[in-house]
Amino acid sequence: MIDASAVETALMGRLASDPELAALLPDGVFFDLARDGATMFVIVSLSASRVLPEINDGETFRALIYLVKAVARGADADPIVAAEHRIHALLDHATLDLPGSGGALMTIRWIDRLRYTERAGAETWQHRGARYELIVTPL
Amino acid sequence: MASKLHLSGFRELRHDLAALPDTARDASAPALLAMARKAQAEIMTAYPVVTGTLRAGVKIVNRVPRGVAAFVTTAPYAHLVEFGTARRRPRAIFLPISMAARRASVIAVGAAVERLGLVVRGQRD
Repeated sequence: MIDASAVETALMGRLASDPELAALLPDGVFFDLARDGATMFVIVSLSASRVLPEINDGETFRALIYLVKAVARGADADPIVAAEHRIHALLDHATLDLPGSGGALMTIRWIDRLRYTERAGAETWQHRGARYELIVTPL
Repeated sequence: MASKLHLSGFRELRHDLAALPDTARDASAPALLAMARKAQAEIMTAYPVVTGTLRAGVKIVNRVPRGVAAFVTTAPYAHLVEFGTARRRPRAIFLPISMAARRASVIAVGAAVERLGLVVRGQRD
């Protein structure tokens, strides 16, 4: 049985430990929701999870799809564009140890990109990132 | 006129359906419509309701020339629900349900076409 929480810890650890990304989005990496007051950050969120039941009762691998996006307040495009590129460099087809998950990473890959602008009252927020699929096989 | 259907995914399915004989396309259309309706119902049930606009915006689009019934979400803020805002968490609803529906559609169309005696090859996940 694969522990998805441990997979998420590893994924977020990869992002949070990168000094280049931290310099671009200094408020940090959060799961689902940023802390109050954060204005430049990374959000990781589970988008989909599935097994392939046709093969070995689904115990052969598990696919986890995560939304990983840079979020920044304001209209300045430079930091968020650089952050999007940095996230991609850190994740797409990367290697990643998954300690405590009961599984090993087979692959992590970019699936699709997202970009949108949110207006909340007088504030403008930019969201840029992608969904990444992690295929994990039980050890 | 195609006598074989080679399945490898939903995108390929849409392409191959266009090349099928009319009888095969007619046989697959009910399966696709049923899957689209099921997905529509699941998404509508899962969507949060505040004004009802989000739920009412989940619609079936019948793409007759390709024999494909698709479901779409049309509320102008659907992406903010799916991917989140600066202060609200993402709520992944449409994409995971649509992914599962696409996989199920490929399997259902393969079965419908096989019942007509056509050969179906390829992966169906």
